[in-house]
Amino acid sequence: MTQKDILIIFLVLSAIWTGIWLKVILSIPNIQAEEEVTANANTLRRRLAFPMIATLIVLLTAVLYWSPYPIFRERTIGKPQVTVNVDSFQWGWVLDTKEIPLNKVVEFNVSSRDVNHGFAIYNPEGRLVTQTQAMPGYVNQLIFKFDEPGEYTIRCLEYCGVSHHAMIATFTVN
Amino acid sequence: MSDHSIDSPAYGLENKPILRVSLVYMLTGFVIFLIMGILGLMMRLDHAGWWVLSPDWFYRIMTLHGAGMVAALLMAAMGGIIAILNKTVKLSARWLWSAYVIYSLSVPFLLYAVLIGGYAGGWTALDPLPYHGLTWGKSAGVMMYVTFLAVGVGFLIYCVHLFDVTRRKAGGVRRALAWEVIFSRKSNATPYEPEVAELAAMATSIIGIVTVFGGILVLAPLFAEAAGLLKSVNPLYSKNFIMLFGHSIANVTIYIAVALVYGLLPVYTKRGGHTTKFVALAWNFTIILVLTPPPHHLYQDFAQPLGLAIIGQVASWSIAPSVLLLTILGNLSYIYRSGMRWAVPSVMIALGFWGWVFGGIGGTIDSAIPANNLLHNTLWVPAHFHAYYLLGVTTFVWGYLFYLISDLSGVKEKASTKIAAWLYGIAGAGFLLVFFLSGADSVPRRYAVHLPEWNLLAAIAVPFVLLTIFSLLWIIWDMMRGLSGAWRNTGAPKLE
Ligand code: HEM
Ligand SMILES: [Cu+2]
Repeated sequence: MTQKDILIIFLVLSAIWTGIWLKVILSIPNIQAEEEVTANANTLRRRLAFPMIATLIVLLTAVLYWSPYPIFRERTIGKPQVTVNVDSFQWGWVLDTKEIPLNKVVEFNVSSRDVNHGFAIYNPEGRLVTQTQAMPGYVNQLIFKFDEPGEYTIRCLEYCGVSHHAMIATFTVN
Repeated sequence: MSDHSIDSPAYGLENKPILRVSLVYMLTGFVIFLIMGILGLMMRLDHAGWWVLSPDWFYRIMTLHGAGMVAALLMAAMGGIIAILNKTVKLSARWLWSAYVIYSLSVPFLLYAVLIGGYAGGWTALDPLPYHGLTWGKSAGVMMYVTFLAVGVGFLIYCVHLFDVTRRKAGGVRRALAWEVIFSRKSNATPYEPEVAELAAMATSIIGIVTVFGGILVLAPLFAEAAGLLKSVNPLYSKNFIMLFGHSIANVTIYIAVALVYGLLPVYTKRGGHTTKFVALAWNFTIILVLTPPPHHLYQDFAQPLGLAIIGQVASWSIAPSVLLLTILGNLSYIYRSGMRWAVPSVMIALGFWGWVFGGIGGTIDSAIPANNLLHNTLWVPAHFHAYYLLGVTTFVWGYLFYLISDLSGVKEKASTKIAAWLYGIAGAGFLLVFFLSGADSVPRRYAVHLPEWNLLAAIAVPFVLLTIFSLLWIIWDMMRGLSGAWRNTGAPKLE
């Protein structure tokens, strides 16, 4: 699942919704009694309620399984083989390595010395591939496997003051 | 019992001082909205690389824009609903003016924090940043929290008053929440049916009271920290409560705005206006659906107990079926094949339902935890809530304001102004679509400096923003003709 898939889902749902909405708008001149419309709406409501809720419940379980939390990623990606410690401050990153091996399961232990920061990894094409927050007093464990070599960029994704956008670091995967 | 008559106006004319309060709330919100819109344009111009602001000023503007917009639209929506309530309940102008004055104190506090104190920590003021800004002093951060306090206390006074008035009229909270309608059996005596606006006022005032209480739970320790009584506040604790406060105060705005639609639609469709079982269910669910999703703001805080993330996810996804099947389907069935009369307010309402769901789709996707891992704090997030706001809240609220002014003054709208209303929707949709595209392109939110490859989408957004501003000016130009007449028709306190 990448941003592109997400965008497609979004555009398809939006198009369907726009179609429904247009149908309602275009129906306006073609008058029907309120009781009939209400009765039809109630039928529709009854028919839709169960499938909608059922779909959401099924999706919900799938969604949880694919969530980025360590207990799930240990299953979906694997147990960590490499550890990288990440510290952050206004405005910079401290990583204990600049080289990360390809195709190995990496765990990032992310924290902050001052305010909240966001540890977001952008791949060589500039796409955000995963993230976690960096919160003072806490260590967030982010598990990830890099299957593409190259230079990755860390961007801060939690607003942390006026040099937030400049809070950048890089590492190499090979 | 009540004035269900579909031919009556969507506001109460009897108690004119209340209408004056309503107009002042709405116009204050409207003026601030316009100014903040210009600031929004400046940020997008910066993103396009056309008018580069210094980071310090970009972030100050971002702070003003966020705080100003959220507070302005909440105030405008609050103002609208009291005009409708004025039909059936006796409100106190004194209470409402007090709420207004205290709420409005937030303006000088905010301006002081940002323009004099140099505060640029964002409207969410996420602890510990406000006291550790490096470019602004701790006092500016305190001022920002005082701004929160003014909005919170003003809103609380307003909510307590609405709660009290609707509870007393119904003879109990449960009756005011239309539980007799929800749980009625055919055999029983006729259930007590509150007006939709009263039900909405009860539901939203409960949300408001809980929200402000949540705000106080974080503001109190933060003030204690500023006073040196506490060394620091646990950042996970403060983040949870700041998000509860910020999310709920922003989110409740759309529901108050929808209450205006329930009041206004019958004027154009000759339908609706009743507290049916589904309407009653919708408003009762709203209480839960505003207050339970805020943990979705902390999905990427892996230190947060997993249970809270799951609650956030379940709650966020519960919104879709209940809002779609109850509120949206219900309102669309008032419009469907109704012969609805087209006028600026009805165009705005129709647009608002489109935009609300559009933003809702973006939000529902983003509230799936794995998707959030890719979208959190990208421009997808502002895209989602701008859709909610710009094409949901503002269309509902300004549609109502337009109606109120034209009906009170008797100055009929120009037929051509409907074009401006449609234009507002089209321009807004274009602006929002590129916001979403930027988000899907991994462009971070809250970045003063954008990479050159991100400029293009921002540049495309600019003409759409200019078009929204143009269409707004067109609408205003028509609305202004009725303003003085409307003003004269409200106001002067009755001699008692
Ligand atoms: C003409 C209309 C508007 C334009 C052009 C506009 C533009 C923008 C832009 C460019 C941003 C900054 C995005 C970023 O880099 O993170 C922003 C943020 C924001 N806007 Fe708007 N906006 C408009 C209307 C609204 C409305 C109606 C609201 C209603 C509440 C609103 C509330 C916010 C908030 C809360 C933020 C977040 C600020 C932050 O991240 O601290 N905006 N807007
Ligand atoms: Cu940052």
